[in-house]
Amino acid sequence: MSTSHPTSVDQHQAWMPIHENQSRDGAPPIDSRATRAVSLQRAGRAMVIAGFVITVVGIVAYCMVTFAGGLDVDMGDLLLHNAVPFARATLGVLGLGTLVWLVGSFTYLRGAMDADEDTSEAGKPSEP
Amino acid sequence: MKEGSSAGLLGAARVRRYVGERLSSMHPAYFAMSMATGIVSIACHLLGLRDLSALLFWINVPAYALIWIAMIARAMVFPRAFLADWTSHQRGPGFFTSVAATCVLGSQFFLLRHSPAIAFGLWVFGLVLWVICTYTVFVALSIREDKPSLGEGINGGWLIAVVATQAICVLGCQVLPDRVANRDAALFFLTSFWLCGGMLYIWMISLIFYRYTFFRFSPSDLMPPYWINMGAVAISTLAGTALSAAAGDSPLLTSLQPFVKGFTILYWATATWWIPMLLVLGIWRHGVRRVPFAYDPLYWGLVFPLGMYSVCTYRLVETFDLPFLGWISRGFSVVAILAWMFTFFGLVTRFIYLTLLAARARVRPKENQAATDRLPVFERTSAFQSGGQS
Repeated sequence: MSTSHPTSVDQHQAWMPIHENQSRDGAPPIDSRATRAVSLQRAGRAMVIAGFVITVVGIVAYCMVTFAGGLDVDMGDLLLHNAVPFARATLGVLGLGTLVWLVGSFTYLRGAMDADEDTSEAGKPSEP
Repeated sequence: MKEGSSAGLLGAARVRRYVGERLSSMHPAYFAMSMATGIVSIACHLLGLRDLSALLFWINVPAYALIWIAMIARAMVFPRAFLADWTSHQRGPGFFTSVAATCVLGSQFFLLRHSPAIAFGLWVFGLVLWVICTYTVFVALSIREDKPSLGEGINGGWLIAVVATQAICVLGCQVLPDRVANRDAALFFLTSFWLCGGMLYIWMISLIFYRYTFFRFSPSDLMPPYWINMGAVAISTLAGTALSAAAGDSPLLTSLQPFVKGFTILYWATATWWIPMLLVLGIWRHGVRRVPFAYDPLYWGLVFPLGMYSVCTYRLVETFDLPFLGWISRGFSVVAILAWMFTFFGLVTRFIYLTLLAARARVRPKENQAATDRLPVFERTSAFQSGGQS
């Protein structure tokens, strides 16, 4: 499930006026900040998607390994005994995916908020 | 220094405004998060996914407490909005999620932590909440003068009343018969709840199905709580299996066993019938009509039925000795975990956003000072406004 964020990359590029490349308070030029915001959003989005995929793979693998242990009594004992390290490993994958997603979300939101401030500074609303 | 402090004040004001907006529009059905987390945890526990089950339990305990704190804060800070929800056809039935969440948490304590005393305390609390919700929400909706049309007023969220009633029965079967002197009286009481839940389902689903088929139906009408159409019968199935398991040598339930078992399978079959229907409607909503996925707390109302279907099928397999259905329980547990994860990530994103908002208020005073000059423009932008329901 994606989340709705304040500003998309395309919206930002469409609204950025070419002549307004300097902020009013002497802060870094709006162009460079905007580029940074866009790259933050791109990197964040890629990490969010990667995090989702890794987490899904981790969950499915964890469930498969654990369920395999309960298929039948004799085989189950054997598999369950051998499955424990695998189950832990799949939980590690799950945790890794969550971490990647978390960092990606932070990065994306930082970029989106930067972009939002820049568009507001350029005198345009952040959303139509 | 003065500039920095005024910018800090502005940042703090933005954070306060964001939190205030979220709190004032907080949906009474937010306890669905605790319901969903609890039932997915129970499904994991029953199917042997113990690590995940424990993790979800330790997420659910603080989540349940935090939702209560937020709900009480809302009642104190925004009493008008809070009271208006009690008489709202759209939002009023959402209060029943507090009953179901309390009972699901009680079941978690009973099954995962082997704490029957805490589970019993939560059952009593759930029963009190059920009485309050049942005889305030339905009375308030009945005596309200200006009522919406059926098409506007009814939605799948109404079936949370059924879920709450059956949740009392499910947890009661676990904790009540061994705690009271008169076991038969306890089982009679719980059987009455199970039957009341069934009656409520028949009333409400008739209206909902009528609304489906005879009223204009837009994609925005198909909110995630429509999955409760399935979840309400799934928990009714679970309650039926719980009654069967708790029967023992009770003369009442021994004579009622064929009836209870027959209705339990009827409920399970009905829940199963709903799944393809809801899937197709979901594809129509998101695939054909292109309604985007965006976090909404009402999505917890979709996660809960998935977890409940897994649990009720597991218990059905146990009660009727139907091992060939075991794969359904396992499959739905995986789907429920994935749905829980997606929804939880959506919720966490909001907290990350709030954290960044608060951090910016402290770390970037110069830019905030610049924002002070354009406050009227900034205030009008929708980026920091809630948009959807909270």
